[in-house]
Amino acid sequence: MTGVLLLGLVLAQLLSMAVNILDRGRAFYRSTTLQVAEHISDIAKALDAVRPDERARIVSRLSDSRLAIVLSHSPDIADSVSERPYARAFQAMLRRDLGAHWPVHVLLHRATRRDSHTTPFFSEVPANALDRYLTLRLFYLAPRGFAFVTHIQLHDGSWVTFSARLPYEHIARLYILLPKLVLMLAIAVALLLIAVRWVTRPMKKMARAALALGQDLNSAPLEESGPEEIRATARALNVMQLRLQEYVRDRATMLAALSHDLKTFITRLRLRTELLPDSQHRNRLIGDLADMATMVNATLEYLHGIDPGQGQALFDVTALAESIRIDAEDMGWTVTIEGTAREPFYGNPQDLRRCLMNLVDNAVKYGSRATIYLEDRSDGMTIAVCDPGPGIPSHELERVFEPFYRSRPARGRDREGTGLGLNIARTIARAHGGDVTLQAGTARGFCAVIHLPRHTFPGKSTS
Amino acid sequence: MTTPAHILIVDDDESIRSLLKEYLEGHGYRTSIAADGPAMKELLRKTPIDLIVLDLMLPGEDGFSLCQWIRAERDTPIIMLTARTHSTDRIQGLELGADDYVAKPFEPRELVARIRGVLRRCRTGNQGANIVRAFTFAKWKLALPQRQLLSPEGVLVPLAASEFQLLVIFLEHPLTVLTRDQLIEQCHGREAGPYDRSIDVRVSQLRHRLGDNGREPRLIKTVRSAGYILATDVARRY
Repeated sequence: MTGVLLLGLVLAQLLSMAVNILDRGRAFYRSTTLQVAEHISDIAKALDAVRPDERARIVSRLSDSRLAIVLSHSPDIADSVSERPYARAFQAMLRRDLGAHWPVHVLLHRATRRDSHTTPFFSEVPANALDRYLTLRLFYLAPRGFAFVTHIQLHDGSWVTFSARLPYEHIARLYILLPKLVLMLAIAVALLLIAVRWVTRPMKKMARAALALGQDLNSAPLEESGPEEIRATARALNVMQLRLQEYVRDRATMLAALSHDLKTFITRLRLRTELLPDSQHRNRLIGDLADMATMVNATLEYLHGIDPGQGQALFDVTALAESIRIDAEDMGWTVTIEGTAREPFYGNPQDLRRCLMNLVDNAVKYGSRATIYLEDRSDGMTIAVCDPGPGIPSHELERVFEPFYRSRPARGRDREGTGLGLNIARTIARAHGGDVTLQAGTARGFCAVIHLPRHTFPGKSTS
Repeated sequence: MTTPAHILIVDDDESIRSLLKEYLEGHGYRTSIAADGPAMKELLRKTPIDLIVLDLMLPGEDGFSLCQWIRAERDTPIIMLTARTHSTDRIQGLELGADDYVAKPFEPRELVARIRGVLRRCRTGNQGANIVRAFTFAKWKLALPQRQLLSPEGVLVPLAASEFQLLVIFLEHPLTVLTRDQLIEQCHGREAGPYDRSIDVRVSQLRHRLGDNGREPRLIKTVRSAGYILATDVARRY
């Protein structure tokens, strides 16, 4: 945005400068040609008044680097028709000064550079159409400009040829003008940058606020100030925030009610089973109810989402893995740990326990036992949970992360999964800036790998 | 056991109240039931109660507020029961003075085990109006409601459920020799599972967690042919 504005401003500035220069050039051209025309007609009148033998002396006195005067009897007038429209205008000026009865021919020549210091100087016809076009229109920019070659016939029939170089002044000297122009441009750009910042700062603030809103729905509403458009946008964002808060509140209320009722029913059923006589059916019923409870808890947990900001602390990852191993072993699972974490990790230990536990649960469920590999590098932690089981086909490696998706072999097992374990594990890892991926057929077996980047520790005390 | 403990069940769900009553009576407890706060207060005034099983979500005054009320009045142990999912509920409940916390739906046996555990803890002496919130020992800190062990370096050390349980037993009896039988009894007050390991393995795990060397432990020392002792002072925060 700043770039576009800047580019636009620089272009506009350059354009206005060009227009300015062209305009001043024209005015300058008019006044200088008028002077030159007067000068030439004065000389022509003077020469006409003196004897032919005195003319040469006068001519040599009057010739200088700007005006070359040559006397001749029959001038080489190649093109008696004056070139348009500058030459014609110059011719008209001469005619006005001299009177209509003087034969006058004006030709446009390009003043040559190489004899600029000689007197009389020479001029040449513009080499081609482009050259002529450029000379005619931009002569005041070209340092050497161009020359009018004027043939005037005196009353005694002889001819005088004037080669007049149009003088150029500061206007034509771009190298003098340039620093001033650059300075002007720099000031303009600086002012523009300030203006752009002034305009874009509220936008940036708003972008930040919108981002904060995405992370924390209960962040403070936006300040409705600044230009009208900004205020309107801020208002719209604030309204959106209110709606979202309402929606989240409604959903949370509904979830709480639903979960309370479901859990109440399961609790009742579970207590009722205790009153049933001991039988295979009773045991199956108890198992089903336990699965149902797991499912309800996992679903609620999934719908609840992960709030990474809560409960962050510096914790011992090795101890976390070991505590999971011990808990798992107390449930009769086989879990081993390889490697250690070198340094404490900053994150949410409760969430990461759940993340790791879900993966261990899968490994034991589908691969009979789990091995946790801890690898600690300076840039992050890698925790791989591997099992010797068959794993899942490679085309399902991503699909199993979808909520409630269950890979085919996972169905019909004794311990039915919720279809949410991997999704929750990944959500937790991602909330920590990392990820969970699955790797089939590694030397360690089928592995679920948690990558956790090491955050720069905010230096807060954990107590 | 002399007389069976009298348990007050406070739950707004009629079925759960009567089912729980029947189940607990089946396990030899005497029970009373209340559907809400006023009924509970009324019962507490009339009847001596040994333990309250208190549901969190009640019409009118909720479980948290009732828990506070009970704590202000008496020492009767409380087990909180809730169908809510937040782990913050558990922490809040324990902070407010509940002795234990059981999430619905629960294993009925688990509830009985918790009731037994809480009653035993109350009978074995460290009964006072105040509930211990945290222990500090040798620059370590164990926060009970949060179940968080903080190392001297300020690093959180996650604990397995059994490690936490064992550590609490040691911290409740500092500088006291605890025999293996005592530890087993306290640890497995709940019914011993088929996978429970020997107490020695658990002690060695806990030592490791506390950064203790097994050969030369500083915190949990072995008392030859007697048992183990936590060889450090323990400060309690209420």
